[in-house]
Amino acid sequence: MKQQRISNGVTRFTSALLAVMFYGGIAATLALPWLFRWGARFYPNLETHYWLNTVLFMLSGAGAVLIIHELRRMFRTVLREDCFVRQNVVSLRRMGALGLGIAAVTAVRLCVIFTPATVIIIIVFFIAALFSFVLSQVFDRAITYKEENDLTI
Amino acid sequence: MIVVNLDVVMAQRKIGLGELADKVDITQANLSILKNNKAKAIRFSTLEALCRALQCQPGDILAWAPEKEDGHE
Repeated sequence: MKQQRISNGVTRFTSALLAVMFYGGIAATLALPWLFRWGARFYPNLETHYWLNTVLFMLSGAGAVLIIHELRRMFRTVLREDCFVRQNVVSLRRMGALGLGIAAVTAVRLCVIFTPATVIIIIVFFIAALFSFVLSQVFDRAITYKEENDLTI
Repeated sequence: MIVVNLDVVMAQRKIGLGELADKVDITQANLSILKNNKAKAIRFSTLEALCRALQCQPGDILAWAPEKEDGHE
């Protein structure tokens, strides 16, 4: 009983966190041109390559928002207690592709301003994309086994 | 392909889906999957329970038939 209460709490928290990240991500991505103008007062490099930075960060932001969108879609199947579906394999593959896209966009940014943090972001997104691709393969096999098991009477 | 002749045996024993499901202790939905040849496999325990309930041999329920040439099962 206590375990279930904790589980429900974690589920609600995760769901709310994903919603905040999704809508917050959209708002932050759309607000980037203004945020960079404001941020340039404290970090002059943002002013030097303003448009390039804005476009590249907006592309990365859009990719991140789409990743969270896929995560929310997957989480809804968990809430429906029907998460072993092919749609989730597609979602994981999309998340992997988006992760690689973000890593590529960040690599372009590296040519403009080189910072160690940018290198770390590229590595993190590249590994996350690989993780997502591998997980999609595992999920695909799991669904095949589940379908077989469901039809074993 | 393996054909499930459960409907034939059920008709011979004059037993309905609901009654057999109760006797075998599986859901009507699963029994229906089995009866309509949609199942991918059958557990020995289910086969034994069916044979006990219908007083028949596994061969009365299951049969082998060659695949149709058009590829449809």
